[in-house]
Amino acid sequence: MEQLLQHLVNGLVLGGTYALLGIGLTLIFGLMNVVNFAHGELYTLGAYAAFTALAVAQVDFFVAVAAALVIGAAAGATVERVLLRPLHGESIDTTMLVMIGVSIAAQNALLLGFGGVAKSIPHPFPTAPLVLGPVSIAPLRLVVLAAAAVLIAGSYLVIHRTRLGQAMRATFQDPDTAQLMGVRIHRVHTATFAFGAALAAAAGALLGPVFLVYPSMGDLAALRAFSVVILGGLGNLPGATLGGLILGIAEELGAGYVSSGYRDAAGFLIIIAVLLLRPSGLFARAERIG
Amino acid sequence: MRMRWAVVLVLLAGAALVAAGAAESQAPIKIGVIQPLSGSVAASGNYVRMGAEIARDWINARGGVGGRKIELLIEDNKSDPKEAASAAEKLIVRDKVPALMGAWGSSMTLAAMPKLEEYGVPMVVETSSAASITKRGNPWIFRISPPSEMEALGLERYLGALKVKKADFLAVNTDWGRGAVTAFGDVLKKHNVAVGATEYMDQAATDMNAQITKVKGTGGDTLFLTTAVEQITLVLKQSQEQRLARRIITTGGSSSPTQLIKQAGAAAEGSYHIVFFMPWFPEAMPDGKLAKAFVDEWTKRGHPFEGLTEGFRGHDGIATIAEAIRVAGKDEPKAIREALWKVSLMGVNGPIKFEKDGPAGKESGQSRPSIFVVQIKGGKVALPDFVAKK
Amino acid sequence: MSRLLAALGALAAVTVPLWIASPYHLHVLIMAGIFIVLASSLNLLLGYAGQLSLGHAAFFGIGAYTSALLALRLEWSFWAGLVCGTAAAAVAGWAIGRLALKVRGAYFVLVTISFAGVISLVSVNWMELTNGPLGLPGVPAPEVLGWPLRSKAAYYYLVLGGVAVAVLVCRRLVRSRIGRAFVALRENEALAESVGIDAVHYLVVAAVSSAALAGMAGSLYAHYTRLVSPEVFLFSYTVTMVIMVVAGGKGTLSGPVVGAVLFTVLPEALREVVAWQWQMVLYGVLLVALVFFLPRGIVPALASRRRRRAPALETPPVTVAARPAEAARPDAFATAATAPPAAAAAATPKRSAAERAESAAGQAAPAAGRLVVRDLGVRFGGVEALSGVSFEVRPDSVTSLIGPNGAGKTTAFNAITGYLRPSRGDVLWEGRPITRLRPSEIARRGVVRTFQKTSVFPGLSVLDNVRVGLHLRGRAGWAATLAGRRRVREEEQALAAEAGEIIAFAGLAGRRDEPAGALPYGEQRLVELAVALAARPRVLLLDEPAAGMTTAEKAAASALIRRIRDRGVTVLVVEHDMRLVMGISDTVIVLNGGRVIAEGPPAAIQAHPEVIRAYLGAGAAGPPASAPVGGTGPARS
Repeated sequence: MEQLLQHLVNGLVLGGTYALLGIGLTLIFGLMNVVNFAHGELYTLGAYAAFTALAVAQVDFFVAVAAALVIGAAAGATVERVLLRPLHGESIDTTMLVMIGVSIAAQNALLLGFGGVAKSIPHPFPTAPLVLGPVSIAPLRLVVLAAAAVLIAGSYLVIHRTRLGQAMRATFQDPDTAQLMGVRIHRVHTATFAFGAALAAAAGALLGPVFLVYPSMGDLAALRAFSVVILGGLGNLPGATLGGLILGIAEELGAGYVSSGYRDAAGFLIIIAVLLLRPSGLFARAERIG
Repeated sequence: MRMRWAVVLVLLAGAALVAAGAAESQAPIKIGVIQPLSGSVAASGNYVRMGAEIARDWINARGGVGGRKIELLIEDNKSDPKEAASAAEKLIVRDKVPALMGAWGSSMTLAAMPKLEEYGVPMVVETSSAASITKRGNPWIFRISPPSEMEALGLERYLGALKVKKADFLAVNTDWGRGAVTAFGDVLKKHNVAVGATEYMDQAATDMNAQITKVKGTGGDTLFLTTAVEQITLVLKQSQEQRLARRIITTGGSSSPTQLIKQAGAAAEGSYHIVFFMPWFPEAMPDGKLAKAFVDEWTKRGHPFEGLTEGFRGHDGIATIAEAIRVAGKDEPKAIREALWKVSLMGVNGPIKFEKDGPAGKESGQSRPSIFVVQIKGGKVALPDFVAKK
Repeated sequence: MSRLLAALGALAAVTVPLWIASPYHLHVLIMAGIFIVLASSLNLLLGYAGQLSLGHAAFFGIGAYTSALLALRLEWSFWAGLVCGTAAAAVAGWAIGRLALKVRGAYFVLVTISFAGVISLVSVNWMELTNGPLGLPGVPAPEVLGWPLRSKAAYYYLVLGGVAVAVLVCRRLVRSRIGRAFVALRENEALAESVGIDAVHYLVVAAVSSAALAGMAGSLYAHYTRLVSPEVFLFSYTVTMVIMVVAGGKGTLSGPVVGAVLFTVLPEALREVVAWQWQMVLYGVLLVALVFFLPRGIVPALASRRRRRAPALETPPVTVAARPAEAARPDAFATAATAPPAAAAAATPKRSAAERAESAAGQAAPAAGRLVVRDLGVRFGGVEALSGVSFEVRPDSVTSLIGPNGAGKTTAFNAITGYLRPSRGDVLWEGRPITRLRPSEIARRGVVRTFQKTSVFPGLSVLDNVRVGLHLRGRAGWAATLAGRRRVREEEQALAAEAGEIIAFAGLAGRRDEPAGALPYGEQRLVELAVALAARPRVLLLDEPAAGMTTAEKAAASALIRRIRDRGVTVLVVEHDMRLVMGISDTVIVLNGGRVIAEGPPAAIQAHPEVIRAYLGAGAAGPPASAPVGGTGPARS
């Protein structure tokens, strides 16, 4: 029983971080229909940004996360403007291939720039775990969870309470009408991609100190992000949040009780099962943005 | 008048001959190196390369081998067996190297092995630990790294001092991790040590909490951990978070304790590590002077200290090949192979001499490297008490 | 010109070992050959059927492992392993094909990635079977008549043979009725279904063929590298294959060949030219650049320089018979190929108005040709789009379905033809229920519809559009097509001839080879009609056929509809143009708010108060209508 509780706690903490990974991608994939294979690299970029800020420039932890957000947004906006906008209207596999190319180039550029040795990011929180009965959690992970929650809430507010968010929703429901209403479609696309990228980078900056930072860290992250997005339904922020939690717990329980070797299979099997049984995601009735 | 022309001509001809001769003898000896320079284990591959380069420079500074300089032709196997085979083919056929060193990971080495037999070129294996490499009957393979069985035997003498009663295993899910589990498991069984949980983790996994929770539940006193340094860091940190109070012993030699101290901090305290090179006290190595010189040169070049525990392999591999070429007298593959059976040299790790291993008639060469155990105490790397006492 | 090039290329390929001595170069060519097979196989699914599968490495790996395991554990010969590897991969392809039932597009991509991921994890973890991460070393070399193939040159020829088989299979499939079905599904799935192409069936065929070839490549690979390890399932292999197909030119036969050779040679060339640190960065940049500047791929970019029109399908040249068909031919579309439509109408027997009225009267008539809708209801969430609609469409008549916007007309069409599931009620065609069948199955039974928004296969020529429509007229199956049997070729010739006739009937003879997407709007609608007619409907449901047409075009359309009816096809039309409706209809049915509010001959409907109220509002209802003239059936309210 004690083990079960610890597994559940592990899973929840992990799931919060997966949720963070998923919400950035659900915006890009769900609203722009771009299969963003470079999402993992945006995550990695955020982690290296945080590393540079914390280990090299030695700024405050939350400033570093904010810096990662900004850098992620800038990278996302650049990629969209330079590579995706000209391909607007091309088939989905063209944009996907471009993103694969970006992913290969970016990952190897990071390898070149920072070297292959994993880096650890210093953080100001105590390392001794908090003990609640039979269960222990590291303070850092609680901070990460809290930060993730703030970011998710913030995203929800942006999408639903700002003009930009309104423009986003309009554009993706009906681009022609939105354009007729004066919405500048191109800018909305750029803003959406930048927004999703910023969230991915923030996830990397928050998770970097928990784990380690190395150039290929984005691969697994991207897979989990896609699983979460499918689980929660495209473009569905609350769905992605819940989906992240579910994925975290499923992985943890699977690794704990079935077999640790097949841990990653949880993500894959979820994708397959959900798409076969409920293609619109488990939470299709929850409000969709797109 | 004609006399002067004749003398000038003769002198010119002589100079030309000498120059030609010198050019001939100055053609460098090419040694192929196959390592993972990109991909998931890029760091390790690069450390080995750095060590190889030090060996090359030292040898060349002493005049090379038989008056000829050594040149390293380095190929990236991209952490992929198919690329390892391609790289071997290219080095052998296009670049005509008479000997190779590589290919780091066991499945990469295994993929390149058929090429060695096909073209008849020897390869010195500097890192791979899978038993099958020397047991497959490939007479062109010469390994200076220890297979997991040897490692386990190296630890065996300390089992009593460590008072291991019940142990668990947590290993990376590759040939290396699984091989270690088998090898150490056999040794433990021989000494009637109970084995609790045997858990694996994917090479790229970052969260091992589930496995750690399971290990926690077995009530053992020791955890054997076999994986690369990044994952060791994560396991140590996560074990601390879950308050897994037991002794941790890492195997495989890739644990780089210095890096662990830096990155895992207090979580690494008290852990034991099986290594094949102790750069913190090089004088304790079989050839203390050589080891110290290697550490100094490495530091002088600005390479990260934590890379030493892997970099030395590159040095020893190249030194072995160079010695074989010297003994053979020429850089021709078959001659080098025969010479490899005869070499006996001192590497950074210790003495290198090959014994027969594998099916009769087609034996591979396996050396007996030295095995060491260190411990992280008080934030520093030290010899464990039971070793220091000896 | 291209034939000459192809011949030269083939000659060069066959003589390679004579002029390439270096085993290293042969090695690169062998790997290129294996990737040609892989890329071609992926092209079937991605380029032709339009389904992006990112799990292709799974089929490759399954073929490799199967072949290796059989050789190592059971000591079977390479050839047996090859066949079994191909078969095992085909089974996996069948599984993926069945999955395609449910999902498309980006979702399908993710399912395929996940499938490959699971298989990869199994290969790493199922130690007893696959030896886990260490892999299976020592896979024996193939033997031909007892002689093991040890030399590179020998293996090169083996792989060349494999390439030839793969290219042949792809060519035969693509240039056949099956290939057209793939492309039709890719271009416009709804339209393809409406002419009887079963999406599930054909996607499964595409997936199985694709997977089988990939499995064959896997077997060749395993016996060449002599070591199979879980790395064969690496995502990067799939990515490489996708790059080869898309950069080479998806949807073309030579694209994957060019792509495979280019991207096998390129990384090796980069080894020479660029320091290892920069190789992969450059690779990524090159990929982006290639996709960016040549989004269609290399081969189409080269081809379009020479051609002005977009090449539709790679089809063998076809001559359409220009001779007029015999009048006695029961085929209703026999016509002098170049005679203008009006003359054609005069040349063939028309059924008299009396004859038509008689068959339309149909008292206790057999169910032949009769479409009955009973209490049909459709719900979208809380909205009831159709609430218990019932009507009958009498054979050999033109019935129009009219009503204000939102009345449920297109919904009714969709429900009748299988594009929507009704929540209650049923539809009977010739006495048998067709509710809830797939659209392609309904089409097979003779019920064909057109779409409200112009629906053609835009990338295909007009001729190919109609040939797709003729899909059900062909019988060539998978096996016969691959075998290249003569009857398949003859069938193709016959279909092409028939297509030509239909095109002439619709008045599009001059546009035969133009891509349908480039035609002016009115002609596109004619193409649409031609495609529908090709499917040999016995009842044709036209959804706003005259929308957006000019007056002249509408007159032509009306005439065409009448001609269609005169050939024994029952027509049900949804339209808004009242003049057109009143001009062509024998019966008019009025829907409003999801219910039938009136039914009768045109004159009666025009004066019907309910109808007027529905269109113009309560105050506009005029004096009560006079008794219906010459109509049949009650006027419902």
